[in-house]
Amino acid sequence: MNAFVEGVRDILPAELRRRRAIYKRIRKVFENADFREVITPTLESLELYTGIEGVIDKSEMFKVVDENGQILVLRPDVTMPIARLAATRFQDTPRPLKFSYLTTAYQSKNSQSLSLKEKTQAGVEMIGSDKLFADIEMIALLIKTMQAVHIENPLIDIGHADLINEIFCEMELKAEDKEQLLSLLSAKNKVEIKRYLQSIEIDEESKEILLELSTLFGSPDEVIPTLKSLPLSSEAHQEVLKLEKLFNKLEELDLLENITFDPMLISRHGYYTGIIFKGYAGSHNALLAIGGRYDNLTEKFGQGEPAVGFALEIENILEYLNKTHYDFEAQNERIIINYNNEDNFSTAYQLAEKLRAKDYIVEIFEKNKKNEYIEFQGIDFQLSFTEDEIKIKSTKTNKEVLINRKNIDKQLDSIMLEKFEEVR
Amino acid sequence: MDNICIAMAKGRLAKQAVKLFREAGIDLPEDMLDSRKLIFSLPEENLEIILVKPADVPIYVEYGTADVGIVGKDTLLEENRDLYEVLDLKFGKCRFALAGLPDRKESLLQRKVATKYPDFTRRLFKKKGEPVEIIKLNGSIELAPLTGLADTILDIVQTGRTLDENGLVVYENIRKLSARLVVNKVSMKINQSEITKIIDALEKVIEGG
Repeated sequence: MNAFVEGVRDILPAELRRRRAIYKRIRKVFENADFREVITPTLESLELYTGIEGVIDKSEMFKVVDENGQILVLRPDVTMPIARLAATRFQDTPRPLKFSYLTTAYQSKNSQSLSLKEKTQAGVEMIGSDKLFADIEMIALLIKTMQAVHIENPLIDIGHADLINEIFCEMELKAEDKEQLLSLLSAKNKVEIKRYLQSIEIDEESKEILLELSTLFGSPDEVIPTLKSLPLSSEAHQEVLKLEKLFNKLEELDLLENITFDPMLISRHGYYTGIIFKGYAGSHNALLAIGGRYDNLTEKFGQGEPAVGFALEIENILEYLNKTHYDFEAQNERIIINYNNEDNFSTAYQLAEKLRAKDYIVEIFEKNKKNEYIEFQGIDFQLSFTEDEIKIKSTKTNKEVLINRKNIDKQLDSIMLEKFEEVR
Repeated sequence: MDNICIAMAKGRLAKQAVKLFREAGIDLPEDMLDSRKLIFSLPEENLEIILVKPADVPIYVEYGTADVGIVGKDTLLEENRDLYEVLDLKFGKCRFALAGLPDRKESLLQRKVATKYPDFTRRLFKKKGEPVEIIKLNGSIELAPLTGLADTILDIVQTGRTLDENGLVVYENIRKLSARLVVNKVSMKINQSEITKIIDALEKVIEGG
């Protein structure tokens, strides 16, 4: 039998320990900003994810048929269930709603480098606020979260769907040409854009704008002035000014060095309607987070309202942290207690409990364990005892120390702790 | 600042690429392709060059192992990876064409197409709305119609001489091809100034020539 399933994997203790440390830090940042964690079901109805253009391709979802023949999907994304939650069970609660999550999502195809079908995502959603300042707060929160898990130089690439729409809105282009140009612009395909612009009828001004846009991205300080100098429509110009304000506020927060601006940034998730942002770590080529505004999504559930959020790709972050070798949390020390014969088991157990209460990790065995075991488990100290004495031996230094058990039974634990220091 | 890593397609394209870089004032050793080394470190230029199989260039660049790649449009169309394609290098010019024996009759069954580019071929015929059987070959595609393995081939054609000498004719020219400069999407943002410098230097030579 071959029980191996492609695209999923076991998470083993060493990795899980690191994950827990990361989860803890992420949750703390989310909770301190009062985004309250929710868990939505693993199974959702297929209908939740269909009907909205470009959300997630149907073919990329895992389907399950329930006993009534209804088609369910393994949650391919967490934003949609939270939008559902907001529009249904939280319909009448005051806004904004602020939720966070840390859970798995399932997709059968994955454009990311890690071809996992089961991915862990941590994210926040703010529903019911259309303010520019909600966008700013989200971007700042994303940077803070990335820093909290020791991503040095987080880099947030920002784009805006309204800006793209307004730029294209005024141009007299056929719908198919617009679509083609947009996809070429987002691909930074200068070669094909030039060629395409020569092949269609287009006025000089639009041509100039589109050619300029094909290479226009980078620091907001440089991109915004160039955008302002282009012959854009007044609506598009308004969008530029809004973005300028956003960048100015981020500058006031000392975050501008973490920001790049790509006016032609578009997302695979079709539901983003306003600002879009993607998070990277300097010098590491993987998408670590994605977010944006999705003002039309909750409409699907009967109550349209503005919303903004982001999600961190935990596996991509772990991959990055593997490269940087950042050591998260010092581990508690490990001890083995040998009790040598059955009569001493209870004493050993009580001793273990005392040490466990001090956050030591303690195992008890009758016989000495072999060195392979001690190495594999990463044991720091071995304890054995007789009626009169306790022997502490450091597995690292091989130093030993004896403690007299008489007279000290009551303070045994504190004395033992001192003795650990002696042999360390 | 890490070095920028450039993946080049081994063979003819790499030769022309080295020439182009040198003309653009980027000092690659002239004889770098004479050795069997696959990786070259050029600390003065902050560059690292790796030589890989053409079909692997888009993979190295998509995964970000290489920041920049030089590869034929034929490979890009086949691999269909998520990359920025920023520059037409205007060498390695050729075209995709459908070809076969001059007297091909409409087959009663579906057309059999032999190619090194099965994915591109599948998309092409899907667009045409014609069901075909695609046979993936790894070389000497021209043999397929001659031996009866397939009745049509999709291949790159440069001068048409190989087809000619094997008695094959072009049925249809599909599209023009040439070498391209591709960039990893994240690297483009992170290493913008370094990569823009390379693009600008190369573009100047290309537009000038």
